[in-house]
Amino acid sequence: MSISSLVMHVRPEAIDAVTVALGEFEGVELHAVTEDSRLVVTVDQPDNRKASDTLTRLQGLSGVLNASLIYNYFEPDTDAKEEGDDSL
Amino acid sequence: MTTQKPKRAAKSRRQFLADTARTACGVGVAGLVLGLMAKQARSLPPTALRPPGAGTEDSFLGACIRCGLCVRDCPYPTLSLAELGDPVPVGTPYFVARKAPCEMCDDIPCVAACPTGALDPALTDIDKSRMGLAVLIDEETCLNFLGLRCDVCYRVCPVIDKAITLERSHNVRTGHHAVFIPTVHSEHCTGCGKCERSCVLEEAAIKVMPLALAKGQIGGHYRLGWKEKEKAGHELVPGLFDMPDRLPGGQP
Amino acid sequence: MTVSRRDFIKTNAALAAATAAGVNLPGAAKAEDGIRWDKGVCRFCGTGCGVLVGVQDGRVVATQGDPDAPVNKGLNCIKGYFLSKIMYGKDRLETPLLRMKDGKYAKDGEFTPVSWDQAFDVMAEKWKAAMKNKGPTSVGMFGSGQWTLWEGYAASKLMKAGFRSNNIDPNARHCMASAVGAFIRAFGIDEPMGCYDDLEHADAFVLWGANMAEMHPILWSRLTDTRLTKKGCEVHVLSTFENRCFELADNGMVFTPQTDLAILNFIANYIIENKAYNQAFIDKSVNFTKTPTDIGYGLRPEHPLEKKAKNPAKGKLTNITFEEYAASVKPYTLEYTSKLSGVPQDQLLALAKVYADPNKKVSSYWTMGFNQHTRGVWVNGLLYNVHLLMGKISEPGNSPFSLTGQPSACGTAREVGTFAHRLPADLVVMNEAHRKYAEQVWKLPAGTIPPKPGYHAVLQNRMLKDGKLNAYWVQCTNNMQAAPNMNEEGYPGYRNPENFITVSDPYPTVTAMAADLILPTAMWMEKEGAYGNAERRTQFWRQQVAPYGQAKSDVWQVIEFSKRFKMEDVWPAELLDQKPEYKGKTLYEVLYTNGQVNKFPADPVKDAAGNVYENHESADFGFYVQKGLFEEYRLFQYEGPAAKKGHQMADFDLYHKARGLRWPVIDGKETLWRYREGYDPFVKAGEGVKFYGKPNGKANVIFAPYEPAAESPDDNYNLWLCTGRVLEHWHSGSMTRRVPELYRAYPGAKIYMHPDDAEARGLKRGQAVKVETRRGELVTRVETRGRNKPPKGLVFMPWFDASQLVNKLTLDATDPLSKETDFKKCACKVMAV
Repeated sequence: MSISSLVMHVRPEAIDAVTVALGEFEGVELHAVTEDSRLVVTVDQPDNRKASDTLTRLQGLSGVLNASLIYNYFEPDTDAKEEGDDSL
Repeated sequence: MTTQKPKRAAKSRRQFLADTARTACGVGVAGLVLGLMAKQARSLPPTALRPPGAGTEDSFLGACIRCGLCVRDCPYPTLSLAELGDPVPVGTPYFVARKAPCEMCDDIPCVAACPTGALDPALTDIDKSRMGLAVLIDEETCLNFLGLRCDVCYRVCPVIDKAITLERSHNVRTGHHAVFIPTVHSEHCTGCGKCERSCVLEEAAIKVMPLALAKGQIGGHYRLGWKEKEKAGHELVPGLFDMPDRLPGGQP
Repeated sequence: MTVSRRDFIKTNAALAAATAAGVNLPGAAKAEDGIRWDKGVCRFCGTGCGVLVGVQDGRVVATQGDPDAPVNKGLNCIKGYFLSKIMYGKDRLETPLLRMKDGKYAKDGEFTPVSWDQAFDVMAEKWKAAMKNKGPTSVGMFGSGQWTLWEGYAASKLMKAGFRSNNIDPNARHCMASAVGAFIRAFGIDEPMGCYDDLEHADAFVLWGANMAEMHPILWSRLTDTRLTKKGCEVHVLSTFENRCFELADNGMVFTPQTDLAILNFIANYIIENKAYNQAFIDKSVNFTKTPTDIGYGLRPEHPLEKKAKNPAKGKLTNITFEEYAASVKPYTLEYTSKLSGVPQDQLLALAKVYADPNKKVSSYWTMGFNQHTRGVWVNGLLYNVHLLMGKISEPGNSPFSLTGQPSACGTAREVGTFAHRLPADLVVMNEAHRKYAEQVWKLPAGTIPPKPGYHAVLQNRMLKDGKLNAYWVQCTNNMQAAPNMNEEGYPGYRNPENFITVSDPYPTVTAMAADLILPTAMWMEKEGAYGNAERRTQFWRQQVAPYGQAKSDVWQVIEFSKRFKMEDVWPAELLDQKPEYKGKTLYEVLYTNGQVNKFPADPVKDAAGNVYENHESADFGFYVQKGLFEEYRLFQYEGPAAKKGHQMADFDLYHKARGLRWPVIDGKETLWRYREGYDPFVKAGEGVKFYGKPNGKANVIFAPYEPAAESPDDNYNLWLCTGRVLEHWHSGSMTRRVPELYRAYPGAKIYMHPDDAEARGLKRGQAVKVETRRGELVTRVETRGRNKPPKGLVFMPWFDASQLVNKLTLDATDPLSKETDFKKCACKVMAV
């Protein structure tokens, strides 16, 4: 599982077009649009590679000035996180 | 708790031998295991650190015979031998700073125990060891960057004021307080991992990375002018001068 | 992976991005909902950082530094960062525990859960028996600078008015009794004239035995900021070992223990010889005196050092002339002082020049290095001498300032008078007029309060051991771990078969485990409270959550216990005859439902937003307990002998609305600097500076010489042993060691030693070592690196670690005047195990 969020800065005149385009991506959700035409978006993909592909494609959409990755959560199938050892 | 020496080193060696046997059986049973081992051998995960004097990963793996003596002689629960399933080549010694950092013994018993020189016997001053490098990896959650007075990483550092210093600046938000920024200096950081171990955050904001991951390198094509001048003790191009400026009223 | 977890992560992701973009997500804001925020105070040191406490589902789930609190502006140190976890240690005590065998109390029994009723039945029986056998001096109480104001007030009243025993003392005796003694001797009124604002106003800072970098981290960040941002600002640090403050110091000085006495006299000598003193200030505001010398070391009277002393515990001041004073400090030349103290001459000179420069505003700070000192009152006074000679006092930036280590050392231990010799608002039991006034406020017959001071902290342990103090109650402190010489005094005292020891604590501390009865106590936000910090700032909070298990607050315990005593049990007939209306009544009725304490109804407690807060004490007793106690205490401030001393506080309700106010609060205004016209409402126009605590308005310069420590290293015990704290843990660690992150940050105590000293003893860093003194031994590990760098000949060990009780080693020598222990100096040896 890979969940990311990003802030996309979009040309004001392109907001509608970008919003429509976002709807065609699987796993992409639009959460908010700011007054200065930035979009708050989450990307939900099975793994980081697919997420990365999606992010690249989002960045390449016409009218998008900049897309900044804010948050990324990745969880592999097996949970191998090390636990701290407090027995010292 | 600090007064009891855990007696796990010897057990670790026995454990290792047993594990090796199990591994051998495992290979017979399922070829999958080999694939796993091969995959592990390729690279060390960034959380696994080698004992003092291990040098580069390639040369260390070439010389380490997986005997476990360094682990046996480590007086702390720091060093472990990688077991099957660990993300480290099986049988090699490593430690995870967040679990148990290197305590930097003056007499470096792990190096003394190494029969092959995989841990460099020339390392006699623990301050010269470079097990990794501490990196303050997340300035957004580090409490000191936020102006709080944590600086636990600084105070637990065995090379305090050299490997980690607190760089002070004005806290613009409060207007009355200073901000103390923990700053790691690679010249002195041994990579012992005490800072990462002690970081009070749920996920440490300061982490010790293997040197290869942690350290940037300035290109050989550029030198820092002020440092070169300091090193030389004089201007590198002697005899250059500046003309005086014309100022009103003949001021100097 | 459930869908809801995925959604949760996605919500977080969206929230993070929205925060970065500076917009609010309508749906996401709900994640914050449900947390109620209210103001509070940090539970730890005397700095008094304002915090906001977040409660959800009856539990403190989060805290934050109050961004608008003047002290800390939203910041906290690492202990404050973990405040929300201190109440939830895994071993919180749920029920009273009594040592029992075969269903009955037995001194050698096992701790067994009992009800509150059973607990108080047994306890009351033991207290009555003790009083019947040996009178009121056989009962006693040990309290705390961590008590809330009303807890200290209620306990003091119970002991002094109810049981007629002055054997109540706070752990603040170990902490700032020397500072108090010096305030009273020099100024006639307790507590600092300045405030934390001095940290921004001063041009130079001098630290005398205060490791502010670790012990007052937020104040240190203010001091550091001034050093960084103000041109010409200097920091001078004096300590017996190099600590974290030396990192910022422009002039860091490590001196031989006890020679601070000489260094201060040298500075005075320098000022006089260079005629740098402020003649006009001296003429108008200073009185010169000297104090008796060779006063002993507060040990047991049969100790050879006490027998040898010429003037044991004498402190009566004699007036002298300026010339006589100048002659007294004359022997403290630069050469002599440098040789004695081990501080190089140029550094001493630089220090003296800072004080002697009329254009430099100097603030001096001290904590335990000065106070835990067998000449603590003297050394505090010697510093006032320097400030008074220069007139550098009572104005912004010019401030001798005693920092405190506990959140309410000032507020509770000092102001409400929980010391063995004190009554509320600077009144004392030895003074007849003071006793009379207290008896009047408390509606007691004349002669109720005994005139003789009770047993102080160290004496209580001695009297327990000697079997003279038999029924004893410890609240809100871990004194078995904290008090000196545990092997010879504390532990034998608690376990003396003649004695019945009760300990009230949230956790099974070393002290609790040494008791006969443990009472589970509500802590911090589990009760309505008030603390007074080091700068005279009083701060209140409301009860935020219900106490854990059956725990009850200290004030509840004190008041509930008082119900078990009929007046006839505790007062003699001739006293009762003066107030026949008290006959047949209980202590509860006489002390707490006296028409004053129970004056205010137990209405729901509400904040400005209309949130309603629980108040378990009011619910149980049927009146607003905290308000009644506080308002009765205020009667001491506005009338009677204390009224002219400037202790006035605002009314109860205002403190629940304000962030915290520095007393005296007069006409709705705080007082930042005392004794100076314009700042202090008690100094009239045209008076300039007036030390109105003294009848003639003048402060005392008090000459005292250098005298050696009680125990110095010799050939056998060849190292100085100094004990203290680390930033990560607070005092005995009973709270901070239960926070896993703080435990991990500094798990166990160790002994800091100079590498050469270690090498000479064949010790390697990290090695287990035995530390031994004439009184005991312990095993720890040696540390030759890190935050503290002792000079050769001195070792430092923190005392927070319950598994390594360093007070088995320390000597119970005290300042004979303040009765405060010197935890900083005794002789030890260190060897391989």
